[in-house]
Amino acid sequence: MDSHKVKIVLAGNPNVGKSTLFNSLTGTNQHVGNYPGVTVEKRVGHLSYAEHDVIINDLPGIYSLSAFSPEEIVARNVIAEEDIDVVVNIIDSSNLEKNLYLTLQLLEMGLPMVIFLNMADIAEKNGIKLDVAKLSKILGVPVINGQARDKQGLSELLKEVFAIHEENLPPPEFRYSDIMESYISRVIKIIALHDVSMAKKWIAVKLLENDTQCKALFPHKVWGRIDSVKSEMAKENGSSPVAMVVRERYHIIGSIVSSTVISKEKKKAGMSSGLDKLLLGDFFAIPFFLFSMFILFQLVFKVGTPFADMLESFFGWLAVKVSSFWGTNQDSFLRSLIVDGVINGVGGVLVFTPNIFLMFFGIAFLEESGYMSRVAVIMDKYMSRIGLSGKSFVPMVLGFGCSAPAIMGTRIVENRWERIATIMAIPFMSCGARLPVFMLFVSVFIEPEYQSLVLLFLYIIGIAIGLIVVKILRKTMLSGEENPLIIELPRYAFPSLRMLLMQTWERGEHFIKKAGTIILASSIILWALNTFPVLDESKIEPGYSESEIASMKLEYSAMGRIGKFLEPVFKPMGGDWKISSAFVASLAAKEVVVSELKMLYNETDEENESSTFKTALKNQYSIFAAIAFMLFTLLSAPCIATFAVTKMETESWRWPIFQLFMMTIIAYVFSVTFFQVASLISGG
Amino acid sequence: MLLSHLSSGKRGVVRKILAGEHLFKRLASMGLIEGSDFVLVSTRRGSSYLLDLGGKVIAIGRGMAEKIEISED
Repeated sequence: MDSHKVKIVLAGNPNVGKSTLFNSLTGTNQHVGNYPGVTVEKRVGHLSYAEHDVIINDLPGIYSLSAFSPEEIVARNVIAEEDIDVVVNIIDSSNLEKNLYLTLQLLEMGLPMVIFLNMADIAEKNGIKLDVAKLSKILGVPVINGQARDKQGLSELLKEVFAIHEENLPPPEFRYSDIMESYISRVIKIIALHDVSMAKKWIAVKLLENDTQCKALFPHKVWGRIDSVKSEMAKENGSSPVAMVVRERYHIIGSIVSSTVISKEKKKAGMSSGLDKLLLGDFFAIPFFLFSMFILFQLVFKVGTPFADMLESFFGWLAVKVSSFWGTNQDSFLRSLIVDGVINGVGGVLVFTPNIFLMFFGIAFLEESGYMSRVAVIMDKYMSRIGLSGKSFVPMVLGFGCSAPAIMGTRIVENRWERIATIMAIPFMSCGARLPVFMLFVSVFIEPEYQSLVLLFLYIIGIAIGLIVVKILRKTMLSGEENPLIIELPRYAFPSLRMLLMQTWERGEHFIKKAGTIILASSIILWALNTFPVLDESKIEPGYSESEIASMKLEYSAMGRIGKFLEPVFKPMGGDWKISSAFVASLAAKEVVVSELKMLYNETDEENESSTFKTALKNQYSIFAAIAFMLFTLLSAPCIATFAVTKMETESWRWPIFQLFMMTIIAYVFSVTFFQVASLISGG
Repeated sequence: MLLSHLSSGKRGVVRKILAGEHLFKRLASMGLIEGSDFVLVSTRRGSSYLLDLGGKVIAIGRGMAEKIEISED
């Protein structure tokens, strides 16, 4: 045993203040990531105690140790496989009965354990008083009374954790009824010869509960023998083994509760249920929900954009500053790489940082206040029609601002399949970066009185296709398990600012670190495509303007060649090589379509579009082609930031690559069909 | 009677859960078992059912509510 490293896990139901305890224990000394292969947040922190390095793993909130959800599987695997020294089970004092269901299962796993009774103040307000000493005696593990929010009881908790770690004794077994114990011991005998890393009794009970993960540990002939025990159980007791295990657990819980809960006055209807009558009521629920989405949207984009603009100016300033190291007339590749590639590329994504932090702040507020679970309830009726649950609605709304933070926001969706389906749909919600592209084409090709109508249609087409894609995915690749609505509605609470800031930072930091690397790499690639091979300027005949030379250089570069190479592909939607270059370049960011076209059409005005540029566009393309281009911009491959974030959040290359191809194919089919049909009808 | 037929504001006791093993276990882990007392806080026009299980409120969808047999208190 390594005496200087102690590994503990925090386990508990959702909404019992587990994250608060984790934050109070570790402060900022923590790291958020994902468990490999699953979209479950992994939160690990450190602290020093009596010269020991304590590693704390904050497990996801769970109600039991079955294998229903990725969270439960992760929790189980961590406890079983990661050499955990002590389990800290955090319990909501005001709700002992509902919390003990998990506690009993944790005890059965046989690791040294300490219980932290949180939120004693709320329990007291509800007229509940617990006999802590007696609870500890019955369960056979130390029980600490505390208040994670005010850091009460933390030092006692750590003291007990170390005391029990020194002893290193498993908690005493609790006994089921004699009949139940006899079945359990029969199962233990069946599996006795098999080597498993977990406590035998725990496994035996799980096998009686028909737990698929535990079954998979054994060969088929073992299953048969266990099944015969189970069918005997069913015959002798007239009820299924699963129901029996559940009943036995609640029986034990009942006797614990009746001997440890000292007083329980008749409590009045709390503030929460009063608020729920209003906020989930027939008349007020939807308007209030839409209002809160509006506020969230405003927070992320209206409040965030000035900061994003500041960052943008900062990167602009940085680019100028760095450029100035090279003389005015020197054209250096290193300068171009650093300024045009790295600073513009990475900066172009990092400017979203304020929006992303504000979104995480808003989401943390919705979660910590208790309203997020209500959102799931309100929207469930509508979202279930496309196979999603209510929570998916929130990130989808954010997608209208920017896909990258929206995709990170899907962390609130617990079910893996639903979450990935939501991620696949988000880029169809037309983001802010597509608007400048639409504005350019609309202003050139559409009569003023129809402009907003066209824009509205584009948004609606995006939404409709996104929803259809989700529906198809949920029926096919992402069918996964059905996920009927069963959700706890926690008490409403006013979250503490410290807590909100810590959660925001935890998740936001992850974005900066991880997305940064992928974006850096892809920015350099795009820069290289736009730069090489280099046109020898000495061979250009004199007399061309600077912008004409820039446009020639671009035509000569790999990007220009790719554009020319792909020209036949874009012809059927009325495009030429310039359009195809612009679309390829727009992989960097959707709005790049505008700047790339400006460069190719020798537009010198950076801020506004001159009439010559617009006339050139109007002469070059038909109105149907312009609409096809807008459809393509709306539906085609996501930008690099979206690609990177999808990779990061799904923990695999499969989904971002699938997204890229799926969207591009859909976009292509729509744009080409539109152009061809429209041209045919109009007799062109 | 089925939970889906109870009107909001009424108290009840869960008699039998007609759902499969999977949902049975899931409901049990959230504190809803045969014999649980509850108050039906709201039915949200029959789209979801809010149950107060004594200090803990859970919401379940209509499909689930049709699989829970209860008796009115």
